[in-house]
Amino acid sequence: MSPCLTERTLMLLQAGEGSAEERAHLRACPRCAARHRALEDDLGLIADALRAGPPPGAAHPRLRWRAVAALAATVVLALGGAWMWRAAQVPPPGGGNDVSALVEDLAGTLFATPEAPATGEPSAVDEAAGFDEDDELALLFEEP
Amino acid sequence: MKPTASGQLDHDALYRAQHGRVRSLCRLLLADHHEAEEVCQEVFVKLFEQRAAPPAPERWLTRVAVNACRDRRRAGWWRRWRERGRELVETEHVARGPTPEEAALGLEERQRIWRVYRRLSPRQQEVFALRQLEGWSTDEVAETLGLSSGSVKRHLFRATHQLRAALKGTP
Repeated sequence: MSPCLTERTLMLLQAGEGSAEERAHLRACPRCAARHRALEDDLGLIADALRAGPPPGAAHPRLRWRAVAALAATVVLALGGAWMWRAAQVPPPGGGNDVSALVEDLAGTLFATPEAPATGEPSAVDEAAGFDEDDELALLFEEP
Repeated sequence: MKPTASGQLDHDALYRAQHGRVRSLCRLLLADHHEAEEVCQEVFVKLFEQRAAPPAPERWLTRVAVNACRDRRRAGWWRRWRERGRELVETEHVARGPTPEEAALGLEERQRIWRVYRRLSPRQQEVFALRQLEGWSTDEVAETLGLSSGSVKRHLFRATHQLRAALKGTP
């Protein structure tokens, strides 16, 4: 005789499936036949319980976990937000003066332009070329 | 239930014949009497909106009901949680005698079975309900839920194994 049937095979046979060999074993083996009857009885009881509808206190066990998870997430977010807000209120060590000075220096270096002097004095380029404003005016009013 | 010769559905007859079954299925999948009734009504409204008769109205109803329950479970958990207290109070105050099923089963045993059933994955619940309670064949369940036969058998085996453990008090 073939070895006794597994629980899975018994369930398939109960569901009207399984091979001819397995059915033959079920007919011949008293132990497997008893297990098969026990499975059918259990399924009958389970079906009755489910058909009778949910009893008080049995509904939505997953919702409790979801509610707890949602609550935990809310608490974590609230604590995180409070901690970040508190951290933003406290000035960094050293008062931040060093950082301000560094930023000003950096801005001065980056945005500085070679401006021409606005005081009317000749620039170094003009002096090097020997150019004089008075000479130019004199040339304009000089009669030919 | 077959469509009339003109291809029109006899909605009233179909409602009378299938309403109890669809409501029971929804109650199994939602574990909530009120929501099961709501979803059942939605399902029949969808049926009434069908101008042409679906090829197999019973199976069509089941498929729509399973999908509607799945949507409801996914979207409305917070609402069920909010209204859970109300439902339990109402359930406890229903004045009626025990049904034969309730008499055969202790309340504690029933609670255990339902608790484990609700812990099964939605797929396992659907497969168990259609295969074991509705008596559909494996191929019909597979076709309706869009699964392979192997998947249906696997879900059914796991669900049965856990529910039997619950029945023996060792979930």
